[in-house]
Amino acid sequence: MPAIRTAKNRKPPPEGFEDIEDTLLEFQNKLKDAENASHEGKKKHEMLWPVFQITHQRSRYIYDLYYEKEAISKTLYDWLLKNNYADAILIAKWKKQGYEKLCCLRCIQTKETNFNSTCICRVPREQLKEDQEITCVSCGCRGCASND
Amino acid sequence: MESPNKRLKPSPPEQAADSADFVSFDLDDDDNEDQYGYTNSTPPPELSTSQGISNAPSEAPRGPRGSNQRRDPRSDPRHARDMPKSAHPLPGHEPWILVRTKFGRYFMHNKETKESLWRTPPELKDAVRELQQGQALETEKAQNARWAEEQLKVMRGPATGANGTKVAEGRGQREEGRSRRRRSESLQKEDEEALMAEMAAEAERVEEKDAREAVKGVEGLQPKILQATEAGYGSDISYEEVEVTDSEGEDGEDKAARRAAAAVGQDVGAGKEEEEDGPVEFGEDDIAWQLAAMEQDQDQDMDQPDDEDEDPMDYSDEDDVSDQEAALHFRTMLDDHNISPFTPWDNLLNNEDILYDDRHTLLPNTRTRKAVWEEWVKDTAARLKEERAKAEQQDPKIPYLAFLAEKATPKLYWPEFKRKYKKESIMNQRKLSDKDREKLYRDHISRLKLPESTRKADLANLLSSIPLRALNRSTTFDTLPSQLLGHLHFISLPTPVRDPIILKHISTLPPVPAGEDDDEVRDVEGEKKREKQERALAERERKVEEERRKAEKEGRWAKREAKEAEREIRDATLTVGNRGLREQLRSG
Repeated sequence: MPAIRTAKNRKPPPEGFEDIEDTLLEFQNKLKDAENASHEGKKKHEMLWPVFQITHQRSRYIYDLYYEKEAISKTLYDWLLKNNYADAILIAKWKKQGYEKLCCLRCIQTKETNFNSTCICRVPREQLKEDQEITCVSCGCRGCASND
Repeated sequence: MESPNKRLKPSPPEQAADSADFVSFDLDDDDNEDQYGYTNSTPPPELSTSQGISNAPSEAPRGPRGSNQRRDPRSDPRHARDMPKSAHPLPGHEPWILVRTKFGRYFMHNKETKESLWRTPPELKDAVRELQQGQALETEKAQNARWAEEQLKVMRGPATGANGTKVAEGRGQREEGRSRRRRSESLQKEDEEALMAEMAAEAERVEEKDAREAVKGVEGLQPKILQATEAGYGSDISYEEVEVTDSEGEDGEDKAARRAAAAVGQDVGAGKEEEEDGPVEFGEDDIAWQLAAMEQDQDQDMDQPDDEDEDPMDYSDEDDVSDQEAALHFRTMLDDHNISPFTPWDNLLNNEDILYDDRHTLLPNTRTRKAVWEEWVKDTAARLKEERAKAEQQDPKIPYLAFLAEKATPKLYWPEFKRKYKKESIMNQRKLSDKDREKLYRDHISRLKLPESTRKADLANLLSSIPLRALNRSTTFDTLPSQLLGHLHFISLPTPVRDPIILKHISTLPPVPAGEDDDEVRDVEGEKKREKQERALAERERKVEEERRKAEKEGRWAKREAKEAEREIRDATLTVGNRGLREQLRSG
């Protein structure tokens, strides 16, 4: 039988976790609120949008701290990814050209759509009609093309 | 010097409103017209009577339509929805007016002959160009000025009261409605700046109390903005003049406007006046319709090159603080507010302390702020990292042991103790595992049960085991070494007993040995050398041993082989056949 891991006997997180702990906790609370929010008057898909949004924000926060600002260590970054504080696959996309602002992975999944195309939110704003407001169904993104 | 309450009249609002409708277009450039299908394709839209152009044609203007009817793309169906929006009289060419349509196209209309032409007749070209150029230039400034003036009045309203404001009410209201709608965000900013500039200028020029009161809020910005006004709003002079010369109320308005325009060498004034006098008037429902049209037109207005060109320019002119300085101020502000470099940008935007800090607004827009912020974060995080690397790591055991010395009693088992103090942060520290905490607690409790003499002896042993470098005569209670503080023997005596012992021990110690650091270094080097030697010795021993074993093994092998050979020889001599015992006996 495997050892039971509780919060107390777990290995401590790497150095520097205390710095970002509060912010991560805030994200966690927001996420919880979003999960428990009422569904009344919302579309079926719409319920999930805030969840996507918050996880995206959190991933972005960690990504920025490590890659842009270089404020956290490699060990901490790896630990965060391992503990699902950030979406590693999404971050992997952000490193690729043209996907720098990608909102979620489903929006580039062409096989799931009728015309084998990406989501509307991937379309650059200049190619849309003027004043065309878009909100994608899968994650509520309003446009995540790299040149927007 | 006029008193400010005489500066009531802004430049005639009609002018501002109408001139705002102008899109810069090149009259000579017929290709342009071609491109948009303006030449001869569809006739100019009907001038409805509701448009207020009294003698507008009731039927479609007679363009040379028949010849071009088959050119379908030109007779774009959406052009059918186009309607005349505003009329601009051409000074000097009386019956002709320039009409702007809902879609931003222009055509010429002759009020008398009721003739409408897309193409400007050559004799009118100059007049049209003049009108267009003058008004396009004036557009932004007049608008800003008017808005600023209105704001000023609002602010000054309570102070000056009755003598202060005599606006053309109805006009003012509807103009406001229109201008509000048209105003983009950047424009609004610009307007505010203009307002501030105006207020500042006024306060300087006119020594009036009310004005001063109004200005008080922005006094700090006065000098800066004054400069800016002179630099950025060159043609504001005209607008100022309009205002100060305007002293006779409603009737003087047109004259003043004309005078002002003449002063700057613009022909707009006459046009404006005629427009006001002329039959071009708008009823209420027209205004409603126009507002609707305006909304559609907003994009076009925003696309006007004037707007885009002016914004950045104004910023650069207005800020006499350079970008670098502003960035520097922004960074010091972040430092002053003790912002953690790990806060997300959004949180910073919600931080009210920062939003109300003056240094926040030194940088013109959020984008530049974010850029500075990111740089700052990078630097600060790097600095923090360095500092932490330099700072000594404190043994996590020390605070826990101090806590134990204070709280632990033999009356509580570990689970009880844990439950009792589970809220304490020290009991939830991640650096020390729960197991370690438990072990320390149990050890400590068991030691507390020992006789005091034993504990005293242990402490004495501990003290004497600490090297002189760490513990010597100059050591005080605050600088006790971590070897001592992090040891169970240190806390197992109550403080009143322990302290005298430690003091006594310290007083017996010699002072810090001289050249302590060198000693240390030499020690380290010596130790290294010794270690190396030891390692070499061990290696050699190992090798020797191996050789010895090898030799032994070989000897054994040789012996065994000899034995084997011997046995073979013996076997060969004593070969026994299978012919039975009798045969053998017979031969033997």
